[in-house]
Amino acid sequence: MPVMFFMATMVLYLVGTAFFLAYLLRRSEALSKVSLIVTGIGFLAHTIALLTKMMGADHAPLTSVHEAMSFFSWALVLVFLIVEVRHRIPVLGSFILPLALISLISAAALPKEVPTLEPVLKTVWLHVTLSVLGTVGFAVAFVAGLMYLIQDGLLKSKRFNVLYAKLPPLDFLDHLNQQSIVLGFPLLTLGIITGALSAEFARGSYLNWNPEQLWALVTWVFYFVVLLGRLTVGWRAKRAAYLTIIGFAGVILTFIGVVLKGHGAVG
Amino acid sequence: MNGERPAVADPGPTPKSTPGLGWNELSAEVVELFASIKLAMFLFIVLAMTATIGTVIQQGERPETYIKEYGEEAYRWFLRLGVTDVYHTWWFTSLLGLLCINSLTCFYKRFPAIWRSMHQDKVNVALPFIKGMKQTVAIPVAGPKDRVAEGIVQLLAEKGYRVLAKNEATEATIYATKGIMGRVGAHMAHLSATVIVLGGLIGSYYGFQEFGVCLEGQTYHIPKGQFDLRVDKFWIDYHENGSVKSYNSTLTVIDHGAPVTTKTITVNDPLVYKGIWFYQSSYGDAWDRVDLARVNIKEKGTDKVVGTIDLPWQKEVSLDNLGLKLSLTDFVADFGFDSTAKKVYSKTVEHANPAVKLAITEQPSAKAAMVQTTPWIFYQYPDLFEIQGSKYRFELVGYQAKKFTGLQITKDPGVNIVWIGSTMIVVGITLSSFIYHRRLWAKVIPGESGVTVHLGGNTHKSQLDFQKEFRKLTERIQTLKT
Repeated sequence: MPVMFFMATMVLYLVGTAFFLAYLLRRSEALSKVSLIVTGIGFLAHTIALLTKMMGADHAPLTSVHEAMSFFSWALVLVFLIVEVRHRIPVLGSFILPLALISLISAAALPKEVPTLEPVLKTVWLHVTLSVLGTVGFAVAFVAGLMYLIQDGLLKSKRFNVLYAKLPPLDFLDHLNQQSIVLGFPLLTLGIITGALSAEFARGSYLNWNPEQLWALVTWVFYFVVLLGRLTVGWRAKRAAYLTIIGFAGVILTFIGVVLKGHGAVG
Repeated sequence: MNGERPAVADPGPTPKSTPGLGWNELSAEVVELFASIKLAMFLFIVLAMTATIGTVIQQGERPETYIKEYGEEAYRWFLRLGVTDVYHTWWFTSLLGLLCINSLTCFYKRFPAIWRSMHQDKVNVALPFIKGMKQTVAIPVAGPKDRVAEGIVQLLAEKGYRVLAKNEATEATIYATKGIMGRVGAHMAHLSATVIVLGGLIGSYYGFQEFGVCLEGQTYHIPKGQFDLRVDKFWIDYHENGSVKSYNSTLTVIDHGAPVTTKTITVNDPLVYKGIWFYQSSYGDAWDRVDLARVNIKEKGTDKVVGTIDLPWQKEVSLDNLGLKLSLTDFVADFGFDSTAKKVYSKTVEHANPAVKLAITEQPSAKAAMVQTTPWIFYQYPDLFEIQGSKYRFELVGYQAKKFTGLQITKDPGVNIVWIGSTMIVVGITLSSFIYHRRLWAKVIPGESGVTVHLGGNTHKSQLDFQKEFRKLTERIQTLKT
């Protein structure tokens, strides 16, 4: 059952991505409606897939990289839908949906079953949930930064084309960038602390100085500095856009590193 | 994250050209430097970058490993810089120390101002002060001065502001503030760095972490806790599909000779006694003892098995029909021989080359000569040695390994401080992210027709949100019904 819904989600997101990308280049607003409906149905299917999987599983949810990726994709689309309902900027979908699709495809490519889970990892689901939600914030900040740079480039070169008309104003994008980090950062902080707590309860040490933990801390410090810079020294606009893009690229690289090293669980 | 303005942008009152800088100026400059947010950011970045060294270069390996991978010259540099154990180098610790100094100075320098603004009234301001604010507006309102002022006070109070008002004959002044917790939160987050580092240091100086391999039924002395620990039982629970459900050990603490407490620990559910934590960490087959070993006895001449016996650990067994007395005296999982100490030992904990030592006393009849030997016999090489003078050959055909439980034994007196720091950081960041400090001033000055309300305000961050709020407030004041 969950697999069927999972596949359906993937197909729907693929179609949604195609529509959203087409929407980017055409002057038709109808296209955005279609893409939104397809995405909405996809999201519903994904929700059902996640719920049925959670109920059917005999192990704690969210312990494998596969599940974390799938959940990331789900939360990302959820955030998009919320922003869409509140601010009506379907063009955000043209950037977020491809990301959600990629994450879902990577999830599908990873082994679905948890290879006999060490009892150590039973409590990590909270840590994974919080960390994934924090990462979703950084992903949205990344998208906002990307859109900011594109819009900024269009403005500077005075190319007032279709894309320019569809992208939201610069100050909105900058604000979205800030809000995403402001929301994502405390979540990541909590994610790291709950991770440390479960390590403490499992092994008796909250910090083992292993690469995964260190990279999580480095990511944390990076976004901390970005946030601090924004709130005090005024690192806004283009600088914030570049920094959040670099930061998210770092997050992805770290994640790939963790997966390649063959760790069964995140963190 | 704190302070109304970045320290570096301060139009500092300390001119650089002052000859013969006095102590006061110097200390002010030092405080300024250590309290600056730029220093905090710099330290964080440097710490993050150096921390990544430990993920690139393996930590705490043996010299050979580094020389093999990076060469001898590079290894010499590694040693000089301490990068094979980055997190214990003097410079890494110093960076952490600087971070603490930074967070404390920042608190010392900026918090009193926040404290004052929490407890002082700021209602005595002049009109130019309001006109010079970042957000400022003059709103003509129809109505008498007192009523308008009252309306504004009510409006601001409704919006959650803490309001102070002063009514004079010629004008009314109103001061309103909200969200000071946002700035308190920023300080809390900043201080948490010191708290966490402190907790970590206490842990590393006064705590310890050890790994204990314990056998069922044995009692172990825990010198650092001055009590004993008895391992009553160790077992593994399995799921129906055969995967491990949990590892369990039943432990009893014995203090001054009397059992104090008994607990079955599993992963994530440790036993705590006198600040020492016992975690279920691993398990395995013991490498230096077995419960039972099965030995085949063969007649040398015919190569026929004349007897099979299960020998218990270190208990003599008599086989009267063969004239044998056997006892299992020793076991190693991976046979090794130390030629200088002339001792047998287990090279690894793996059961790679298991062997048992038997004590054999052979006397087929009362008149026959007695043969006494203590040979090692090998599971994998049954024909390795022949026992001189014996009628028999002994073969080790199997054994039941004794299970051990691996206990992680730790004491970390700093851990609670680290959790306090963690709570501070989460609460602090949340407060300072979602609440921002706003201050508003208004002067109601009577004019020819009605009054003019001069409204001014500032915030230390989130200018965009504040602008919006300021606009809305302006609109509300414009339409005040008096």
